Amino acid sequence: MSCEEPTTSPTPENNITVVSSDGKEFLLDLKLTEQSETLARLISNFEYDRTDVKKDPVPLGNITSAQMQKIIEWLQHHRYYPKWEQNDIHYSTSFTFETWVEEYLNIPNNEMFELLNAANYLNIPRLFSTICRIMASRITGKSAEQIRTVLNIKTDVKNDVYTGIPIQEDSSSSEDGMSEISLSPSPPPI
Amino acid sequence: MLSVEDVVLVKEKFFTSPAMTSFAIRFQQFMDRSQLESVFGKPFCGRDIDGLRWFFLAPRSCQKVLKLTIRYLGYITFCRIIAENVPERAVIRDVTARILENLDFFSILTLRKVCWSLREFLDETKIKPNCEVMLKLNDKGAYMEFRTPRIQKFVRFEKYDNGCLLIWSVRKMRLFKDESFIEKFLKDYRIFSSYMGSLNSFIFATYNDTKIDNLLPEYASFHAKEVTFDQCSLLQIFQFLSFFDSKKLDKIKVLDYPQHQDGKLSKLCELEQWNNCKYVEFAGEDFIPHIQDFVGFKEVKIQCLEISTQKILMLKEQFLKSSTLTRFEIQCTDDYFDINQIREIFGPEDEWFFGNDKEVVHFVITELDFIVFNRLRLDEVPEGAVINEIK
Repeated sequence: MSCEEPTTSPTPENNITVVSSDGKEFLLDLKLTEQSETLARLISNFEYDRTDVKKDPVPLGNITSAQMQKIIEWLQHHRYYPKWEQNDIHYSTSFTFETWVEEYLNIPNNEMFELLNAANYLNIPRLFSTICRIMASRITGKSAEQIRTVLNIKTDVKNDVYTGIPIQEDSSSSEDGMSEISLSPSPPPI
Repeated sequence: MLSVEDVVLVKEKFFTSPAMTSFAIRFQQFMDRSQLESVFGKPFCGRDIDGLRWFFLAPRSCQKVLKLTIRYLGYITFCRIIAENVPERAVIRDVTARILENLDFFSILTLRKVCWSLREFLDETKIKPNCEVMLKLNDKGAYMEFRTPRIQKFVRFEKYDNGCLLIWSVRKMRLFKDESFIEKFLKDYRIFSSYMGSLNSFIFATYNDTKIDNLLPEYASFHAKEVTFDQCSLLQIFQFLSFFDSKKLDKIKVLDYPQHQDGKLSKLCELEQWNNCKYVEFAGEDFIPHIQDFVGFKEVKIQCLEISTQKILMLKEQFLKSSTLTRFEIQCTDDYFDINQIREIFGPEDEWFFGNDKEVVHFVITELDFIVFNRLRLDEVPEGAVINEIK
């Protein structure tokens, strides 16, 4: 997808102010808000796109200033991409990402999950889908132990209520816990 | 009596009314959960609450949320809350499910081993992995192959003395001494089918001495779009086909149908799996088909030893009468059908059209000597073609 070059600079009339949960105000160009269903609907319903309407600051109680800063960075980069409402966009299922996206999302998992929640809250589909794919790519192909490390999860082995013995794994075909016997040459199909 | 439509109506009214802050309804008969889910989506239903909860964002605000609670004791309540009061877990569950939708089946199996809460979450939400699955089974083992745009993996469950040898595509293996391969396979297949719903392709390859009774217990049940029987006898096909969910099965393929088998498939016609299926392919070197066994399908492809002119005439009549058949293709080994006799009956060409004002049946002997019947719309008939009118 190619981006057009910006042709206009923001003016006070085409801005709105959003306030993060920690009270910081951000001046947002209306063009940027088109990527977010939540903000686009709000602007349309309160007619904030009209110059003669008084625009009150919009409180975003679920989003911190750090997350807002990060989201604005995304919105600015995708400023000339299609609006959120174009449902016919088929988001990629690939695990290959643009260099810019890789650098943008080169953040710790907890921050990424918070950003994902913020993208979900503001309904920014392209950002939401991209983070979901990045997070899935960090899980794919890893063993259970590696996933625990990536997601910072401690195992919570359950014991059988009657015997007190740890319940055995019910799936044997997942690759975790396999022996290290190597096969050579490649096994013939059945 | 309260319907799901009534609940939807109250929800809509709630959003448009500036005055309403809460609304409670008591009812006698509990509503169908699947119907509620089809309208409102998956509920947020932690084990700590005595009912189902949904949260809806008000259209004119990103702060106001409508909470709908349906309690098992027979109360429905609507109330307005602010976004900060939506339980974080309700959002997290939805978001987590969206991440996991990007994973293949093997990664989901591995995730089930990470921790119990994740396993419970996965089993509850039934994430549908994005992959195609092919399964092969015979009396020596089972083979499952998973294909996604990114990954192609397989796992094999092989018979090994009294145990089972598991082999993965990453060239690793593990021996289970006291469990048969079929027990191991069925255990995993059950987890698999609870996630996947149905297989893309199931191949059952066997030899004449394979006994299905030894291979599959009574409770085995398969959901597949397509099943292939490779070298299976009529009895084996009959026995094995009955393990399939007839509602999911779209196509049956019989390859290399053994020699000296009965050409009459009336036994298969007793099965709803055979009768409900739309597509069939049947190939056997000395197979002589009975047209009546195939007229219930939409598309039929047969590779056989021979077909008599009488049967071709019968097929034409059946095709004209049928409301289901759209294509019927026959290929005879050694081109064993009488083309001259056919030309004597239908005319000197190699293709003929039969029809009325609405539709036409096209009968052609192709350059490769395939006998093909096709249903055409009038506008699909080539210009100048002579349509033999049927009464």
